[in-house]
Amino acid sequence: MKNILKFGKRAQGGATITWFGAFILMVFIMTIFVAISISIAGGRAVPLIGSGGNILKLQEANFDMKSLSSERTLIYVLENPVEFEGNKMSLKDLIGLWAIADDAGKEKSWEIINNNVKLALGRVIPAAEIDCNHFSYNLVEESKETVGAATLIIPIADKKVEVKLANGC
Amino acid sequence: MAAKNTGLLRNKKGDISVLLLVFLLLFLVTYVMFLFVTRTGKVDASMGDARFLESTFYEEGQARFYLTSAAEKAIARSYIEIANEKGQMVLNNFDEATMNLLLKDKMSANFEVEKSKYNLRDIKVQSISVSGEIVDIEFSDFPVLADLSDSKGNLIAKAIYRPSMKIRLNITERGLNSFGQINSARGVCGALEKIDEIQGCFNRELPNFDARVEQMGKEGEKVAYLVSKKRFLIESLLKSVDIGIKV
Repeated sequence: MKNILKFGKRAQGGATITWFGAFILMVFIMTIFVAISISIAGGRAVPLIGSGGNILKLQEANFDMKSLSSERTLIYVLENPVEFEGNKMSLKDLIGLWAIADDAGKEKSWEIINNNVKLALGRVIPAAEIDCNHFSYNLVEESKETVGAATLIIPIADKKVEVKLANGC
Repeated sequence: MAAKNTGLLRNKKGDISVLLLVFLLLFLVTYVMFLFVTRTGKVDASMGDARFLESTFYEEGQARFYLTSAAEKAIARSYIEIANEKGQMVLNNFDEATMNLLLKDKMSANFEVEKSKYNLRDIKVQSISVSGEIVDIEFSDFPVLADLSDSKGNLIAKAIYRPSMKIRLNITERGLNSFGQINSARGVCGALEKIDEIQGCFNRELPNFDARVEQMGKEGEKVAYLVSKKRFLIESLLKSVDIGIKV
């Protein structure tokens, strides 16, 4: 009887060690499986638990506002035909000429540009709102967008003219 | 009895291991499902702030303006190149289809030169076609990116908008006249006798050009010199399109 018990205990020990080894091995395989799943899953994580579920809410979105209406007005203004020293051209080309002109040429074209911008704006914007629109053009190295303003670039030779129309109302 | 107890104990230990394994498997399956439900594209976006769309349309409008400007310059450059290459008698005998094909070829090269002045590397030309006074340029879809952040400035998502871009330019509206119109004017005005009548006729038929007609040689051969009224700023120079045609 004693021998049988002793033998039985040995069998019990062997079976437990086998299960234990198998358990460790399986946990290891599962860990690898989870790690691979995480790495191949998409990058976007949306909380499933808690508020929101799988709905992406953009109610309080906070992005750089760019004025679409100002952009359309600015394009209309830049495409307007103008006359400078007997030459007909578009306003965007006159602004390009201003960029490469000497001081005297800059002064001459500056006046024509400003007068034509006022005329063009007057055709698309109600008179009461014209003063709200601020048109500017500058030579820049790199263009920078401004919140609430429309910005366009006119490249000329190795220079860039940044043209902006901002609505201040 | 002792043997019975030992057997029971052994079975219980085995059951616990199997039970643990089953629970782990359940956990594993649930976790992987959770991952794929939350990280796949099946996300409903509730867009309360439609200004987001304005932002993407703004980027599209900017690209459209730059492409149109580049195309306008490319047309003027192509006209100048054709006139310079073929000489002033280029329009003595020509058919519109051949000239449009030539214009299309020149346009393809010149448009890339003009486009390279803007930051538009992602936009590729798919096709250019010239028909009468209309030039159509079709582009491959290009990505307009917008970062969406919450009120604290944390990035929520990156949105990609792929507008289908196609621009159409009317050569007449851009300050020139098509080769078809020039050829047609040549036919109408060539039937007239007096130089000032021919000149007046060209100025009427081709409103975007200033025409000057001169008599060449003793045989009464007449040449009309056409200079575009509009000037184009090309490579820092204000240029007109000058074409000479035998009447």
